[in-house]
Amino acid sequence: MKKDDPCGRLIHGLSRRSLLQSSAVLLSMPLIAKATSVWAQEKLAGSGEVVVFSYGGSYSKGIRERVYDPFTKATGINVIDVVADIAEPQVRAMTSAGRIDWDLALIDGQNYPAMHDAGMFMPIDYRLWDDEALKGVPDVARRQDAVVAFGSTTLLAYDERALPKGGPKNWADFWNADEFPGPRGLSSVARHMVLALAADGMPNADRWPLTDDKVDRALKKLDEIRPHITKWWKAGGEPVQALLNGEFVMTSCYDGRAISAIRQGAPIRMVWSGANLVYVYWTVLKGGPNNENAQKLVAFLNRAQNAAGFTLATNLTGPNVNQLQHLPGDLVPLLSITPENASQVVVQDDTWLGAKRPDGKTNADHIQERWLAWRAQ
Amino acid sequence: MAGTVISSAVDHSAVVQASSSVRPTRWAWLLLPGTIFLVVLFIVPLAGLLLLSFGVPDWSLANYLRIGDSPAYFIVLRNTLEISLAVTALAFVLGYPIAYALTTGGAGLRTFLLIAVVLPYFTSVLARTFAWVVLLGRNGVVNEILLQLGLTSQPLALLYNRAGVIIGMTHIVMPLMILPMFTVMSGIDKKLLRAARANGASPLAAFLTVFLPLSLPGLIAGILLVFIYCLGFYITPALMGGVSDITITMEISSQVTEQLNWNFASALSVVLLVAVLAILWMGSRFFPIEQLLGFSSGEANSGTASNRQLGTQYLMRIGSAVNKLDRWLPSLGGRSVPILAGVLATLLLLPVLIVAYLSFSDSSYFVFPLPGYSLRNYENYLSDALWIRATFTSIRIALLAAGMATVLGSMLAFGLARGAIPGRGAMVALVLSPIIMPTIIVAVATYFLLAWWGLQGTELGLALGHTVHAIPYVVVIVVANVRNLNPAYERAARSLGAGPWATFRTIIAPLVMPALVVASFFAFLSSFDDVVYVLFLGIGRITTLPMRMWEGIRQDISPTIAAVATLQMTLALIIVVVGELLRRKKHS
Repeated sequence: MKKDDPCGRLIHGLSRRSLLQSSAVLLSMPLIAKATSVWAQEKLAGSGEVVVFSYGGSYSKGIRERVYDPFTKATGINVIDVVADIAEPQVRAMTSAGRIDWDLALIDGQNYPAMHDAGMFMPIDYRLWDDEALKGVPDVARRQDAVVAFGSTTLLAYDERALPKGGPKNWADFWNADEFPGPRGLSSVARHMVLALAADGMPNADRWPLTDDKVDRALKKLDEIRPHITKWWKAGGEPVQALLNGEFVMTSCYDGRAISAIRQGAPIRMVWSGANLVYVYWTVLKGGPNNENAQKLVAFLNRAQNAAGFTLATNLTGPNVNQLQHLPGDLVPLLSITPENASQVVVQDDTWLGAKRPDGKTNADHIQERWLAWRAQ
Repeated sequence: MAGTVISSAVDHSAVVQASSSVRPTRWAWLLLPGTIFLVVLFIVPLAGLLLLSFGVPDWSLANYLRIGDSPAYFIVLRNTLEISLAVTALAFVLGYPIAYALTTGGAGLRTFLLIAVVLPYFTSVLARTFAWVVLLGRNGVVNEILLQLGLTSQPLALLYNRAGVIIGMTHIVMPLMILPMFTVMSGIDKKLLRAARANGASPLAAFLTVFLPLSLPGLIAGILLVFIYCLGFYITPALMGGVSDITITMEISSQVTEQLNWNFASALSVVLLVAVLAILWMGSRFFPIEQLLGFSSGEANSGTASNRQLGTQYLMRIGSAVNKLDRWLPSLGGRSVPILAGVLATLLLLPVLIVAYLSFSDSSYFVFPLPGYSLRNYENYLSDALWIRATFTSIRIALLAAGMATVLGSMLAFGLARGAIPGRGAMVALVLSPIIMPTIIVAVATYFLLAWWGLQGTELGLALGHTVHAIPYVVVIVVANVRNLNPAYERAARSLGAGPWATFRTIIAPLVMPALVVASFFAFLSSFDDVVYVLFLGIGRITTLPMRMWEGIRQDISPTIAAVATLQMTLALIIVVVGELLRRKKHS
């Protein structure tokens, strides 16, 4: 399948989107010569630039095409990319140095509590948002000083070529090497040990907080599967690559990477049962050079049509459920925000992970240390 | 401290002066610019960050106690040292014959070997890792052959374990081992070997008693650089290792970027630095480098004379034992070393050739064998303004950094070798520390300094950071070669009326030029290859080529990076071949 499926979009977006689009084209025709008047109708219109963190690679390319360029066209504000693996260390460094060069950054859920406590973020200006966006983005995703950019789900993915008689349905099947033979992969991220709890039959609701008894149980369960794990992957691109090359028949995998591969025709299937979901937030950095423009870009990003553009461009799923109307029909079932998928995943308890233990370490530190000891043995 | 290793590898005059009363010579002034540079750009920022490990402003040892509390950190540190030692040993065993053949072989062989040694450095880590999967994976070429031959019934696990890490790392560090040895070996007077043969030594005896001892400084420089370089690996072990192959640098990097525990990461780095300096210091105690070097110089010295005699006796005994043994050794007519080196070099080239092959893929994933051929990966690269801009940015920064590092580093090298300053060991420890400390720690520390100056996110700022990292390579390589410089030549020139500048231009510069070329090559590469400094010093504003490649591994799995790697290799290939042609022209 191509990245854009015009047919799929035609069917699913026909009612509203195409109408809106064609009327927008008609409306804007006489105004093209005077672009400023287009901006005049746009409540997010402004000038200057906004400096936005970006993951690079196809993410940067896609989001520019589908979100930044339309944003610049609509508002007159230029978007400058700043690229790194993840934003948190740089945000921390800039805050400590007192020179904030960025406006908008993506912050992983487990890092959010500490950075929020340190007062690094500006309140999100929800007054700039459209009504539709305020309705489409659920309350839990809209924090006072952060809004969910996308949910990143670690789920089970398998190669349907290797398991023609039917693949695993859940993590217990992943652990069942007799019925589903073949080499496997798991991630080397400490927090992903929760997937072993799902395999051990723990109900989703009991997963968090990840107290010491649960860590013991998870590590014991991981001892069982350890001999069957060919590779504990590190970089997000590895699991899909290994599935395609036959190094794994099944693995844990980020949903975004699996979706990207499936959209390019890879024979990969996703299993949502018991998956671990982490929110990644847009934050406006306090002291950044263009805070006002950053607020405008956040409001723009959360409009359903742009949210759909973001999902299509990056394969990362934003929170606005209204975007589903603008997405091709065969993509929708692959997203974590459909009611069916959302009911099977477990949201990571970031507040608990960031909380301090009596010994001064955070729960996240403690889990990292227990994981390291298990790995190193 | 660590200094003894190098300073003993330095030169005879230094060894002589070290034991007599220490009086700095005028050469010591050369230490000044480099020292100021390192103090301002390395020591000051690092000291600030290391204070964090003590929880400043409320002084505490909590971070260190935490390391002691969990046995995991000790195991991880031991893993790191084990892996580094294994890779260093393997690289030495494989590298020495190649370096020897580089020195003694014909021009054709030398060009081939140089290409084989240098090219692996230019493949991106992801493309290279995938090439290893093609060779050593479950469905890889090696397993396929073993299964076909019936040597095994199950695919062997050749990757994702300790062996995988060692193979992957050794492949990359070969130039770092071989080129310093090569520059020193090139300076050895071949007439000495002929003299030994004429006096009845067998080829092997002549090698063991004459050539090997004379090549020691290069060997020590290579071993030292490779060992330290190995400590810093964290991407290759993560991609090619097993679950328990965690290195301390992987953990430090994770503490900095994922856990955001900078205080704790600093404490881990201090432990690493202390452990490594202690190992180097112990190494210099037990390995009698000074004696071996002592009699390679022709100068007598009261302090080491008895040791030298002892050493000579040893060598004579080795020589005569080997002479007796020689009768029993099969003769390959002097071809064995070139053949061995050729085979090893071909092995080094295999993954590189696979990367080149993969670059012609028409699939959007890495697939082997290729489903079809196309140039789409090259088109993707050449048509993408971001790729092209990143390429030029990388080249500009690397040239700037290599220039600064070569000038400052070679001045430091001469100052260290001939300055005869007191406390030279400490000085050498200072010079080496930038590459012993995990890059990410140095990068964070340097960021604060640059942000204070307002140089964050500028190419100059990034180049300054890279220069700190490149200076140690330059110093070690140049220092090992200063030994070849006989001060008598310079004295002769001066007595014939040449000024200091003329002496430098006509005597010193031509003699150390090969070392300077190799040193600046590594300085260039250490900047060109960086994916860590740029994250902080560039603060997102600067995108370099390796950074784009690394994004590839996190965001895409596209074989475009194979095309970029192949283009880089082609460029390296052209440079090596042209260099060799120029060299041949000069000699003819």
